[in-house]
Amino acid sequence: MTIAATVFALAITAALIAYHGFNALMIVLAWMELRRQQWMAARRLRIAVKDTMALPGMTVIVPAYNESLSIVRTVGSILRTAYPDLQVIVVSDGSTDQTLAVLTRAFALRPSNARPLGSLPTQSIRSVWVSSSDSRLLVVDKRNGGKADALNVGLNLATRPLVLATDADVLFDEHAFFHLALPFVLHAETAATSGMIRLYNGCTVERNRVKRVHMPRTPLEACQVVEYLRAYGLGRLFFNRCGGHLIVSGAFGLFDRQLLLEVGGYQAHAIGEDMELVARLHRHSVERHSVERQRPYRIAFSASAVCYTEAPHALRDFGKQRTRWHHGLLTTLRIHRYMTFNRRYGAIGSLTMPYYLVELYAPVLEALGWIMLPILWLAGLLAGHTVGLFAAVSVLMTMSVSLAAILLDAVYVGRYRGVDRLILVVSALIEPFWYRPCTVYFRLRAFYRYYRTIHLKTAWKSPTRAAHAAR
Amino acid sequence: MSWLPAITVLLLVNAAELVAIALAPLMRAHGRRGSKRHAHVRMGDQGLEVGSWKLGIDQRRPRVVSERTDEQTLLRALSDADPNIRLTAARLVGERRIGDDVALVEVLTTVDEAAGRLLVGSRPAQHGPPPSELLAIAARADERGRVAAIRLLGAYVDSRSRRALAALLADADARIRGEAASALAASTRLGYPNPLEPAIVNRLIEMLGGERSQTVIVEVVDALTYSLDRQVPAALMRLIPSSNGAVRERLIEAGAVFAQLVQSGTRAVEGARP
Repeated sequence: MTIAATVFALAITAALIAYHGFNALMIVLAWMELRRQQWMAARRLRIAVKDTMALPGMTVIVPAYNESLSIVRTVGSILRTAYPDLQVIVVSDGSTDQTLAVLTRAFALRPSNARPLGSLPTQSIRSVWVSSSDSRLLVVDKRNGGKADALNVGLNLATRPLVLATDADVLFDEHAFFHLALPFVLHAETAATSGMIRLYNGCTVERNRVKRVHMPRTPLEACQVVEYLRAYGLGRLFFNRCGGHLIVSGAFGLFDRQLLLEVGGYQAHAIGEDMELVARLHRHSVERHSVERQRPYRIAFSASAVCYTEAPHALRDFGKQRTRWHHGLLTTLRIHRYMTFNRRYGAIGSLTMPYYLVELYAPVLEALGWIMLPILWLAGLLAGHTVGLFAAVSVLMTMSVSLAAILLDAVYVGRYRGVDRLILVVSALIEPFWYRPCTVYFRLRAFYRYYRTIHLKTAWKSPTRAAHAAR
Repeated sequence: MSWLPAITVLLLVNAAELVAIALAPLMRAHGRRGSKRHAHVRMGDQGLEVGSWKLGIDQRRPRVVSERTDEQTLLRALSDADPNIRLTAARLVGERRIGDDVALVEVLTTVDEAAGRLLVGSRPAQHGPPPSELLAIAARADERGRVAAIRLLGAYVDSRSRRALAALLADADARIRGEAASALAASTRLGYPNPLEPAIVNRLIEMLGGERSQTVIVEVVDALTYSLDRQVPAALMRLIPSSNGAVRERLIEAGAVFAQLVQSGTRAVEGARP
């Protein structure tokens, strides 16, 4: 082996050891955090809290653009949750389909006198409606302005102290909102909480609730289930343990309303507005802490708060989603780069931001590795068996992380049983061979778009929805 | 450098994980037996006690007003320092119809704008005539609580309150005209799907021609949109060429909303011509 090839081999080795060594640490800490959080699921705890403490009111904001197929089911799911003081605001962002019409028919809408309490700048509101059958539901029709703009309209109209931002294709567990609100009840400095997101592709849905959890039957959707388990079942728990929670998902994030207004709500032109918002919250927290000597805010993750969303079925939609997510990550890390390696921001600065920096460039490194290895072999600089061993180690390490996530879920949650668990395991085993290279490609595409300054439209395009995504 | 030991270890780890996944149901059952310590949950002075675990609950738990809070505490909470408390209290005071209208006028002059609007907006529709004292406060030009009284009249779905509001459309103060139009719009929405009285619709249409304040025009357009009177769309369209900016936008959108109301099955009425 030449010197260059040796150096390359050593670099690859070091990267593999560092990256996957970190994953091993993540698995251990995630396991410890999951064990600690199991008490939150105790029914007696829920009863004790509800009997002795008043739960703060919650406004759920559902931004919707051309979501006529799924909006009624999502709203029905929200209204059926067992949370005592709830307000639901559906914001139709200039929908051109039958979104407003289906909502009118399903919930007997009538004109409402609700007026904005906040003063965040937004596109104009055309009309506000309230349900005659359930006065908790408000529907707003506004001019098109993008998802962030729709969320800000909801924020202006919200009357409860807590605000939950979600998507129009989400279903909730019965006690999801309780588990999400519990950290606010227990700790005064809680600024935001997020919960576990699972996929309802392949699941049985009855009366707007996931009744039985099953695995989807297509490889693309099945591998996404594995990926979500890794991200939420390991990643979020790990960062929660370390106090460095950065991402509060746009599909399932609960915030203190007043704090959201103070930081200016959602940025209208941000791609990845959810991550960008939380980064701003952290900055606001640190600045307020240093000026007013108040305790920094706390952002929590509750594994017991569960919601279900729909994963893309088609590769094209999947690709667009992953490109958009990575573009959002790139934009957010660039805007808030001052936080990286900055001790003022605690675990966020010293752990989370560097981690996501590596995540950002991981597809570049991975693609380089996969391209260079065969080139070096063809050039005779690396032996064939060495290339094979590198590949085997990388694939096996990826599999072990996925299997660890499945194991934790199987032991502590146990929603996938029998054949479904088998499909889950098989998906984890085949994922490194085709799914991961696809995600690498789509994430690389985000770099290409970013640096070519192709502006990804903030006006959203709804992905193709199956009318019966769930069984 | 030999990678075989690393691969061997990884294969063993993966195999162990697969075996553990297969045995997961047994591990869950064992875990459930062990979690009986979770069964004991108590709210102690120091916070939650979950079995042998004591949650280190922050002593600075957030204050909350709720459905369980008594009326006097709610009224006091309207001037709380915490905006969340103020807004929640305002909403509950409105929803539960705490206090009579005349007493509320005084309360509304002391609370902040957002809480005041939420309190008024949360009051359910009232279908009887308003108290004559409330009408008197709304009519008197020098009254401190005049704006509050006008807003409270918007919660009444009654011809007497609407006539009083229509009379205020001719007030010299643009702010009073705007508040009266806004309260009329609120009353119309509460009375939906019953149409607005034709005489009041005609009065509003007349105003459109002569009103100069953009804010007032927007409120008048709002009131007309929900009136369900067939002459309204044409009246609004006539204004578009001479309007600008926000008013033009509002006029166009009002037409779309009117169409939505008609499309949802509500019949628009043929109002009396002036």
